[in-house]
Amino acid sequence: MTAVDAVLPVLRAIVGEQGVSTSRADRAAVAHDLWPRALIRARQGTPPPPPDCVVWPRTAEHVAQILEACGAAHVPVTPFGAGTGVCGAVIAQQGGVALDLKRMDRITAWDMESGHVTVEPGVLGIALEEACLERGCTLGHYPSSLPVSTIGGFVATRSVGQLSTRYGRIDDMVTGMRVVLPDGTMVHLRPQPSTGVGPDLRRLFLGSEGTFGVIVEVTLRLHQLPEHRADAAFRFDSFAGGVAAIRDVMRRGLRPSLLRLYDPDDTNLQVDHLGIGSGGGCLVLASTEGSQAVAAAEMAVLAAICNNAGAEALGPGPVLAWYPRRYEIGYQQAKYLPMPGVVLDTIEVAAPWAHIVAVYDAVKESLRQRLVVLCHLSHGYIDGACLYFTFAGAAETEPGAVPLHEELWDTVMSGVLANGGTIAHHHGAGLARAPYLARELGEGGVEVLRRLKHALDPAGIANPGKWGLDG
Amino acid sequence: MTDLLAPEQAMAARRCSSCPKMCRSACPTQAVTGNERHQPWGHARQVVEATRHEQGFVDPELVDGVYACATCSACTPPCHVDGVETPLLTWAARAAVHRAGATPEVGLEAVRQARAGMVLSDVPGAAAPIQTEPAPHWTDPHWTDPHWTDPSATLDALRPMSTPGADLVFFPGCGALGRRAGAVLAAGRALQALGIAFDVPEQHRCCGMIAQTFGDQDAAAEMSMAALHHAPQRISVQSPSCSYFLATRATDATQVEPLAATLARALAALTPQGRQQSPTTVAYHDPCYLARHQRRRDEPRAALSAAGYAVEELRAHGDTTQCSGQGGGLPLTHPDIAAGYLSLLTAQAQAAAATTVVTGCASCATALQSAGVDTLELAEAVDAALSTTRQGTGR
Repeated sequence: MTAVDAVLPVLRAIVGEQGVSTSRADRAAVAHDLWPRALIRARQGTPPPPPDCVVWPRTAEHVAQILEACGAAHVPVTPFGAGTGVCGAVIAQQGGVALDLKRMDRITAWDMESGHVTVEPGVLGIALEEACLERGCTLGHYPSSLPVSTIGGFVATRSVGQLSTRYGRIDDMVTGMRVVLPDGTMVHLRPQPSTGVGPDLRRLFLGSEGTFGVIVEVTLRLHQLPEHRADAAFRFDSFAGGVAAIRDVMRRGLRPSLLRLYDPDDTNLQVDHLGIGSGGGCLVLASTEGSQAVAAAEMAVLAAICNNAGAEALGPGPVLAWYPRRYEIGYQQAKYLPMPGVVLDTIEVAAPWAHIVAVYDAVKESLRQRLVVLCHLSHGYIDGACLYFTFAGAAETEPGAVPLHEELWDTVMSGVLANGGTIAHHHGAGLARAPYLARELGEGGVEVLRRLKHALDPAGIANPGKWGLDG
Repeated sequence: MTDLLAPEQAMAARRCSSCPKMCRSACPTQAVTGNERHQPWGHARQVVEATRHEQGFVDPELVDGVYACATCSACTPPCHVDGVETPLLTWAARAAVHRAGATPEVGLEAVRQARAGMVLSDVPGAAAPIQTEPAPHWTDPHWTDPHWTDPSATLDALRPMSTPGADLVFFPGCGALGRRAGAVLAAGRALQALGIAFDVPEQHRCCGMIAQTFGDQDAAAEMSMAALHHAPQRISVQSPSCSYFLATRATDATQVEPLAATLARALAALTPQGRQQSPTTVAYHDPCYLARHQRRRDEPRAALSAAGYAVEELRAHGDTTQCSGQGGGLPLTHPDIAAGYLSLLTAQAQAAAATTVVTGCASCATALQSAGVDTLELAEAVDAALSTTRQGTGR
């Protein structure tokens, strides 16, 4: 009898017969996320091995009991939200239990006076946003995966939405959380606007991808719906020119909700989608929000910066065309990914302003001979920004697809690190970035993670195998 | 087993299973189960896997997956993947299962009963199963002991309101005849009151939708042809899935429309004096086969307004309407999931200000009623309004 077989009766006693499945089909459905390498392997008929069972808790107490039981039996537990991550974080590398959190899908509390909402991890992003809109507020978190991903997934991977320049990343929205440690201990970090008690423990679990525990409740900040939004698009002659203008926008204290700069290849792709008439140059999309006067004034300053930098003003049309299509990137993947040899992926990185053009040039130049490489700059900060690359191409043969994908990642990661950037901005680390963690964090940084992991999870059951910490 | 599935549907399955699950939030089965497998992406993934194995389409887990769906088409509006129409893929997968000999016995029995002119009913005292030998690859833990009845008595009661030889045939359909005979008679009274001459089929013939549902495409073609043969010119169909299916099978010579459209057109011609004078507010539920599969959203509301009702919208309506879980064979193969659909819809009905829900589907009406929601089928609501008007004006 395996360790999993031994723990199954205990799990059924905790969550009931309907809360545990060893069905091959149920296990296969949670065997991987949308990590393109796993999708390519699935296309080839060799997806990652599935977990031994799927368990659906309904309460935080269920999660605590499950972790306690699995810890005692040395059975790995890998949390699973909606399986829409793109770095392989939910792949149960050592088998065991896939802890599917989608039945924990309640919005448990609204504190409208403070502007807080408390939710379970399985709530879909779109469901929470719709509930917010009914109350005249917004989370302000609009990743392109909003319709298909869960709040728990956002927090566990440190997601960033399209309007992050104004609203911040999910890290900035989390005011409190409850986490179950791998031995079943419940940790409650009460919602507070800010706290100065030692290190911020919330940050310990943000982006932890289930390796330090399972997030079972999150309290998030709410924003009042803006009265007004002003939109404008511009065209710059060069990517570097657009970067300089966006840097100026951020440094002057503006906080547009939307601020995207497309490189020439990506701009050409937007001609029909956004109705910009012709290709060439680099497109900038911008929105400002707030009261009418504030949004208009902020947009006026932003427009002046762009105009003074020699940009062509395109009016609000392209921005208005962008909003209805903002979640649709996935449809293209569905069309092309089934084709033999095809490799598609997106990689988001970031860099300080001093390095951002170098990082952009390095990635583009290293891969443009082999792949279509698109890039847009988004998520501006006062000191830098995110570069979001999209890659598309095909290996000569289907067996060559995985090696091509590995080469793509090696090339991008090396280029970013060599030119002063960080290898991830908002898709997490999972398995995709594990080989590069030491170069990103340094041996000292990895050692901190390793010691934290060992202290919190001495049995090594919490999503083992991620980040390369388990040897 | 690739040859069991049409090549275009095999490609659709590959594309659907390569999508980042963009319809997840729309899928009621996913909302009910929270099981990653139970959404179009998961089902398509199973279909792709089935094409890779000799016995793929007889795999009980694959069969379970393709039947864990009410074919409500909630996944269609958010799907922008070229070449993918999820209900078509579901029916193609079920047809492959049927050709492989693995259709659930409950489905085989449903087709046999429908071919014999019987209708699925909630009423005890059903006909004995025509054949009870279980299918070799299916062990259904959710067998619900469905009841089948002969609807002749309802058609006989309808006949005195009809005009033999009229060029419009009123076709109630299995759902209305089996689950809400009163709605069929209400439709007859409403049509009569509105001065619309209609004929009634000599005997009930299933349109074939149930055969389509359970993957027997040959039987579906044969049954739809027979139903259309006996009503060759204009057909007004009460059950939304039947009007959808007959419209897809009718030739240009035959005009098929939902009863809601027939009623709306006639009611639009009513003078103000003919309408109910004190509007009652009702909440309208869009049945998925009427609102999504046929995109008939305006006519039911127009009919209700013309009959004198004020119409409130449920939280989800039109493209996003919540299915009651009565379609796609779901109550037969997965009654627990069907019940979950109904719970989601019931919650919306209970949140409405109006105390009465009107729906354009008899099966939905009966299901909602069983969940404690005061519900009228559309024809019942129109009949009630016309009856009130007649009494009020002494007509």
